[in-house]
Amino acid sequence: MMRLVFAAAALAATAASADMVYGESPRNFMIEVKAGPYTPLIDRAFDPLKGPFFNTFGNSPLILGEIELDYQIWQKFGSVSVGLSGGYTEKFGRSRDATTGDLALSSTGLRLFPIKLLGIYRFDYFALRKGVPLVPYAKLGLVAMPFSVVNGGTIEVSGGYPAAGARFGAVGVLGLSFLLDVLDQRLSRDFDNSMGVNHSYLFAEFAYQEVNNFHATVAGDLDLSSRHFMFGLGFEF
Amino acid sequence: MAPRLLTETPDMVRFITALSAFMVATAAFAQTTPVTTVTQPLIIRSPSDNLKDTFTFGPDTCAQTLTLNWTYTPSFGVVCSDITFWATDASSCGDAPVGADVPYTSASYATVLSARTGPIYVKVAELPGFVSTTLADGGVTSATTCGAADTYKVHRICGAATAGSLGSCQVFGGATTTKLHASDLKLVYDTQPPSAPVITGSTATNATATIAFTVNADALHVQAITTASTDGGDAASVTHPVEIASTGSAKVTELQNNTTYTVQLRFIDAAGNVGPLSDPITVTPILTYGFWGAYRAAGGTDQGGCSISWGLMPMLAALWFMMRRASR
Repeated sequence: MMRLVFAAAALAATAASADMVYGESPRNFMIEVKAGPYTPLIDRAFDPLKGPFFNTFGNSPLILGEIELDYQIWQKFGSVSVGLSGGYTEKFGRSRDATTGDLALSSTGLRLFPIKLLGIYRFDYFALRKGVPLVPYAKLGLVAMPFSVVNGGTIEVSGGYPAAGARFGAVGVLGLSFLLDVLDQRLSRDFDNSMGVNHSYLFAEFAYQEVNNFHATVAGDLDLSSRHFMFGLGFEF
Repeated sequence: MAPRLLTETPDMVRFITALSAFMVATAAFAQTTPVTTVTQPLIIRSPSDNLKDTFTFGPDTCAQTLTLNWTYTPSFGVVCSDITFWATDASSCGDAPVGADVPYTSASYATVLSARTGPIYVKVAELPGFVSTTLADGGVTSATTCGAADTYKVHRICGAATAGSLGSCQVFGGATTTKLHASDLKLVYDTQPPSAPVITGSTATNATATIAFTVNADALHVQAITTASTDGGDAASVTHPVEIASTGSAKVTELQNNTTYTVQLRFIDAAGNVGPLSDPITVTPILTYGFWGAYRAAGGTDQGGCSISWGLMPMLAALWFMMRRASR
């Protein structure tokens, strides 16, 4: 416990000196690279333990990778940005014999390409002015999620319907960034002088995502909603 | 202190001596030895594909006269004489035709400078590897007739000229004797069929069989032949379209599920030689379903597609709103 207190005190002392003491370059953008476990809520329209997603892919999540670029349109008490992100994830399992239901030798896979249009607010006032190296933030946006399902290497067709299309929805994100500059301020300044990167962040965020065509479709349609965490690195430049 | 004469400076004397020796050596070297092989300025290629440096052909080309192109692009190396062209079956071109090499019409220096390109006409049946020649001692070299089976023979269409460098045909001591060699074109006559494929595995699902085999560097394509086993005996064999052999995998489609097929593969090389069939294997495609089939079988009603009216419209509206705000 004492160790924790000392660590917190040291961090606070370091952070307190992280105020704007040098002429930094203008900052307009933030780029984030992130990854996290993602399980689409496809089975919530079915019996969760007998749902098609669970039966095909098991209960382990997909690993979603995303890259996001934000443009800051307002900087005063925190910053407001608009952002665009793109990602990719896939998961493969075994096909089944249509006669016996046994596992077959061929594989089947679900591929998702989430695209998001976001509005972002970052409360970085205390991090940049008062030396507290934590930046809470929130994002709201629209999601387009193209998907495809392959079976044996080709797009699967069932009942005459090919397994390719896109689902749309909305996303809300809450996150917390840790300002890495406080760990090495000289390196941070060099990064700004040489590359124009003002600040670097390590972050974790929770996404509440409803991707079911805004509930406009009937129950049983492919539901790519999720509740998932993402972790990553952000660079403000 | 009296000024020292230049010749009195030991370092300067050593420098002038060394420089003189270097210039003499350079001039002598340039006079006697073709020291540089420059390939970029002069290339010989087929007009049908000026990137390929090798063409493989079989017996059906023997009666043809190939029209090739030489192209000269001055760079650091420049041509300073007529360009000589010839065909050889030796492992490299050398500086000029020797022995049984077949010479072709040279390109004059004036043509080289003005047109910078021209044709070379090559009669395939008269390439040196296909023609017997009389030797100085009266003997006759044996040659393979173009069209003979089970033969693999490489010819090179070569070109060379005297070359200068850095845009000049002059060097210390006079005109250059350096040789500029063309980037040659290889003509490979191949009537040796590739070996039989070795099948290493197979999977068969949904009217499709995927056959894995060991890759053969001599094979350009692989082809599957299937025979369905029916109650009344074997049906007629079906020869499937060729596929690229370097993938190590052949996909056989349009099969009947729940029918056993005998599958054999064969390689086809770049000259069109067809190799023997592999040992047969049997496959039985079965109907399978993947996640989409499982989802729909469980009661899923999604029909794919984009649902533009309820899905895309809100996003387009948001984009329109943001663009409108930005334009103000």
